[in-house]
Amino acid sequence: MIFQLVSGLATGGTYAIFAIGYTLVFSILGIINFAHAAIFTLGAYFTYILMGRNITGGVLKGIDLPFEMSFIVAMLIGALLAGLLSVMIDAIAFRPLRNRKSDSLLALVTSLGMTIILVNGIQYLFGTDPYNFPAKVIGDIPPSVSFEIFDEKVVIRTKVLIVMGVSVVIATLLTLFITKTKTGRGLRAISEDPTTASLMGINTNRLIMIAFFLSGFIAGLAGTLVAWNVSSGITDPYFGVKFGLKGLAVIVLGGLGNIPGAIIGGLVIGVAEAFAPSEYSDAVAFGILFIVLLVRPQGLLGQKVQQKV
Amino acid sequence: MNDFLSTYGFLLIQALFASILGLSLYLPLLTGQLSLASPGFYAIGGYISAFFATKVFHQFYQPFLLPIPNTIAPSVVSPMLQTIKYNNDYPMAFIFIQMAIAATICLVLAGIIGFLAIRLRGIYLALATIAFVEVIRTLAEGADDIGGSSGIFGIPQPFVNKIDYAWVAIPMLMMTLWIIYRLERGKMGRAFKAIREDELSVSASGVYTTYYKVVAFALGGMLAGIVGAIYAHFLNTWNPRQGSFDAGVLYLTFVVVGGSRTIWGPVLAAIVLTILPEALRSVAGAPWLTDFLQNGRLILYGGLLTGAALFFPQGVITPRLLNRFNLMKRLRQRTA
Repeated sequence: MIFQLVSGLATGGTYAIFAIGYTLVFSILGIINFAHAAIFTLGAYFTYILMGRNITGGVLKGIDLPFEMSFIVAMLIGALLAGLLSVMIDAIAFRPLRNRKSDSLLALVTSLGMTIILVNGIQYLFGTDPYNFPAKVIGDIPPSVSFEIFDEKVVIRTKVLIVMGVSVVIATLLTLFITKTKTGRGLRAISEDPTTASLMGINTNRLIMIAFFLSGFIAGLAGTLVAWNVSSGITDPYFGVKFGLKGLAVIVLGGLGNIPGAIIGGLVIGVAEAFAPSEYSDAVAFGILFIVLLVRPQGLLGQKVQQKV
Repeated sequence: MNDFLSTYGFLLIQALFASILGLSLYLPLLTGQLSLASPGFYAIGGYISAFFATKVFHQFYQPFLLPIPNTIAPSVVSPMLQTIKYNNDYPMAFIFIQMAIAATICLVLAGIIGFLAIRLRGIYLALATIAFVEVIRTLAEGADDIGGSSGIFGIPQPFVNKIDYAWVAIPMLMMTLWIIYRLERGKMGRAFKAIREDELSVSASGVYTTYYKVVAFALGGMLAGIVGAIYAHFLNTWNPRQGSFDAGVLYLTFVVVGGSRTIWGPVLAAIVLTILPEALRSVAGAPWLTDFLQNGRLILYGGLLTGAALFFPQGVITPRLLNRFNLMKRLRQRTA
């Protein structure tokens, strides 16, 4: 019972950290940026390359970089690159549609297209080989922490605690950024009405760029951490896409565009999966997504939006 | 010609069925609903067909067995047995029964799901249909009765050559086109298009929009289910990967690139996009290009999907383009 709860929370933590940046873009622009999953994947690949490790497959096979970075530096620079990539994706796939005031469904289509390009591009360049991070990348930490609840011994892997800690810190900082800073207020104004916001002197294009950069930066960071946490490396180019689909369930359950909701949604789905029989655990998230959409489309923490005529 | 058909037969049939799958996405889009549910119904149809062919109907017919000569080593015999046992005499009648069963089940199921999901608009409906596809896939992976994640093997063959499936695929495509063509020009089709343009004013003028939206959704699901039923025979094997999210994106590419305003758009785009990468591969001179067309084919699809959505929001083949061709035909008739 406790064991399942703990392992569910651990999985849920990875869903949560994935979903924060995903929901950020939705909260401002009202679009599902499916390419978030691809940026998440690329973040992990960037970190791996920057650490100067060997590439064993694809077109880039055998390429040797002349530098080596430590895990943490590589992760941060990798996240930076992921953020820039996210800004680029916005410029290619979303900004033209935004300027034309197109249907948000078209943005879903272009973001699916960008995801296909990126994921298959990764596969073309790096092959389907798994890429593992070396052991002990952040010094000598104990592999797990154990404590007792209700006379039951509970063991938690330290990596899990790190991922959860990072996701809570990121979500807190992001919520503070959105609610307290001037830029954050501008972003909220854009989410209400972009035209009025720009008439009020808000530089909408610059602020949307910032939002995409933040979303990509968080995705890159999350990709590295999740790859390192779940399987101690990148399993294949598709590992992010699985999170992309589950992430949909997470952000819809939490309330589309709601940042604390993304964390709660992630943890709820993680725990629900842990209690389901293992061969059907994947069906749980999508079952929840389907039911939430039918019964309570605004999610757990979201507010009901009236259909405008 | 024979050489050409034996090399490209598989591809041609694949293209024909892909175009019907493109149409299964086009139907709900007629009412303005973006549904990615087709792969789910396609998978269900395939499983129904594979299940009936290997578990129910196989007892009603005697596979035509070839005597195996003693001179062949036993290690060679067993893989040979696989191909010989299911020779090529599976009765077409059984396949039509399976297609009918798949069509009925998918129509009813799509009707129910459509009725539940139709109140969702735009992006939410797309998400719900993605969820549906993934639920079907994971349920199929978990169900050991239908082979779990490895699927069902040795689905009997009605034909010797893959190209012979054209006898099913071509009439099926033509029938589908004819039915949708007639549908679009009837009361039903006018209601579909009116709902696409402005649902609110249509419902205000007394049309029960939910009915038409559910019908469009259910017909799309049924079409995908029928294709799945015949495709299981065509592929000889069926597994959960057949109905994945990726497949949905592929059909979406056909519709977005070809155009969602005419029936010719999805059909032509499906045929061209299925055949072109393979055809280019055989003529490409440089080895890196051949390699790219083999391993990076999906990168091209992604680029086309994004490019079409950005630059041709109505697709390449628009009603205006077709009208222009009609005009030219008329002019030619007048001068002749």
